[in-house]
Amino acid sequence: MVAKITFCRLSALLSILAVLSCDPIVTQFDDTEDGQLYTAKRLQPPPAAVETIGVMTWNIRFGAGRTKWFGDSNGTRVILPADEVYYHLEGIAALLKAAEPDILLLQEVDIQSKRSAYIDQVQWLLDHTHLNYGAYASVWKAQVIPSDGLGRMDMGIAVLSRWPITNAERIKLPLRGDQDGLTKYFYLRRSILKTRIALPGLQEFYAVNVHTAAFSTDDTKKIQLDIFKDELDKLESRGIPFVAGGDLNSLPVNATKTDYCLSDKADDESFHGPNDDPQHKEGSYFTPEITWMQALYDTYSPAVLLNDYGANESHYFTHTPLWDSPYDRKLDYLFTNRAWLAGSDSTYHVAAPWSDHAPVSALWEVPK
Amino acid sequence: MKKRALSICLFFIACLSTASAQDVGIAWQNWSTGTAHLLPENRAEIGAFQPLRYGYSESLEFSAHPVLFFIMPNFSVKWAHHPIGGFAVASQHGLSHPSPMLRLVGRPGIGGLISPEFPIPAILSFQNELLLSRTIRGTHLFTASLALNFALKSGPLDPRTTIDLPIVYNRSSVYYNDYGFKLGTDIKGKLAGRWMYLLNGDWYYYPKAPVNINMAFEQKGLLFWNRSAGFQLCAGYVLSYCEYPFGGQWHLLPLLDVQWAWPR
Repeated sequence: MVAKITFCRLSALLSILAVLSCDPIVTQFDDTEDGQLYTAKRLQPPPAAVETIGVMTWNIRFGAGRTKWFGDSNGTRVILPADEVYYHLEGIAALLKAAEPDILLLQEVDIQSKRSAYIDQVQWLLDHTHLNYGAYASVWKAQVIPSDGLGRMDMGIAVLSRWPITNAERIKLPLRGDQDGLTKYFYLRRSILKTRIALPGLQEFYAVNVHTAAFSTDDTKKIQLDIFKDELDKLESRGIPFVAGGDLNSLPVNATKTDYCLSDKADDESFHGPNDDPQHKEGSYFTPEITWMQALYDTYSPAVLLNDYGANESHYFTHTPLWDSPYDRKLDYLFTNRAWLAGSDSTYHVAAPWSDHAPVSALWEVPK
Repeated sequence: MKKRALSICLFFIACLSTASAQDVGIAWQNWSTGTAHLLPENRAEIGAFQPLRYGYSESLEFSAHPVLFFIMPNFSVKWAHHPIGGFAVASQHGLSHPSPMLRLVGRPGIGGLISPEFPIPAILSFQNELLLSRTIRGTHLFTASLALNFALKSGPLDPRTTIDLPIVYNRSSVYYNDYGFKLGTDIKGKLAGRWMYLLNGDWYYYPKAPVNINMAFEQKGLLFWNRSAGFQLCAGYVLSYCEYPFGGQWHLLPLLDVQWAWPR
């Protein structure tokens, strides 16, 4: 009891210190900010002229591979050692070198996080692949996350490219609306990363990356998806070609299974029972959200057509939250306002050891 | 950030330059934390963020931090020695047991500063400091100090249990690196009336830590308002540079404290 009271006093003192501190414990962002630019240590000359470019999106799960991490796979691991993270990054780099994307949209990339041994994964991937330039936007940045020992955190989304990135803009997305104030303060601050890339033969060209809310139970994700589409609409209205995508945490509109509560639950969890509260597992119940991707599908060209997806769903699955199961749903997407080379898309299930998400790629036809 | 820090430092230096040189006879024994002077016999002092100190005799002073005591048992003794060349000399020897506190914050959920996946061994931390103080122009007191800190553990402590926060990280580095040094200088004195100042700098060095994370520096500036021999308020800043596992960082933090003493 004494220890509990003392702990409360200590927490109060730390809170006062945090409030009074000149540097906030958690980094907050303006509506728009510049992205953080990177260059590989050794540049590899990109092609001078191209008819198609390879575009890939991949949520690399901060180099944690299929570790039973506490936050998203019913696990107990929190802080990974450097050798484990490097092992997973080596696997990610090997796949990237084999697939040879020209532009890569990454989600869940850590640059200075305690949980991934403080490795700057954007710089590491640039230095160990054929990609030359990078842009990064934080999604979760704090001196310390005082929960579960997470500690220092800097996770974000990134765009990597063989050609120079001439501008990178971080666009703020709204915070989750279903959390208490304290949790919300220390929680993720989602963003869009809009990058202008100097692609040969084009006056202007953008690659736009997003990672929307994974566990919101209200309409936060819908609002984020609408803002993402608004940004794409702005480019389209100016006639600027783009590739866009990311981890949208949403199912295709024609997905046959939309409720994963029971397959995702931990042993000590129960859902759908008369006395269960909540009734559904956060991040696993897509039924009321199933139309939220419709506007994107209606307006832009997906790398994986809905008809193709409907004909063979499991072929296109990109995610599972379980550490020992095959991918069982599609959450990761690529779109464009121009055209993908027909039949050029790939969903890499061979990536299973390196992330709980599979990368998706396709060849984009460079407009003449 | 650096500009703001510089401005605050310059403000304190400006305050220093206005210090009166006519006042003499300052009782350095009162409010003597961080100096080679000891509390007068039977005097006790405490602050919201300061340990409870008690003058046991002219040559011995005991202290312990009461707020932390239940989760980090701690005790220290300050011992006065013979003056050398006009310097008051004292040594301070402390012992603390941080394991209960580390285990308390090694928890799942909110409040967890350390991942619960790591066991925390029993740790005994020893602090040994030599302090030399000398009065300058009657109203200022200069202090130099050198400390050797070391820690004994019942088992390995995973380096992933560090708490990467200013003030905390550099003080707990000794648990991970076996021993370390602290070199410090203080100057305190009278400004005018009831106002006192303190400027201090401490440099921490851990020889066994990797080269890029083996040192830290803190610079502190405080203004004190002495209502009486039994009560004072202080406010100021601490500027901290620390080499963390992810790189060096500066922080500027406010300091506020309320201090009481008995007999008044």
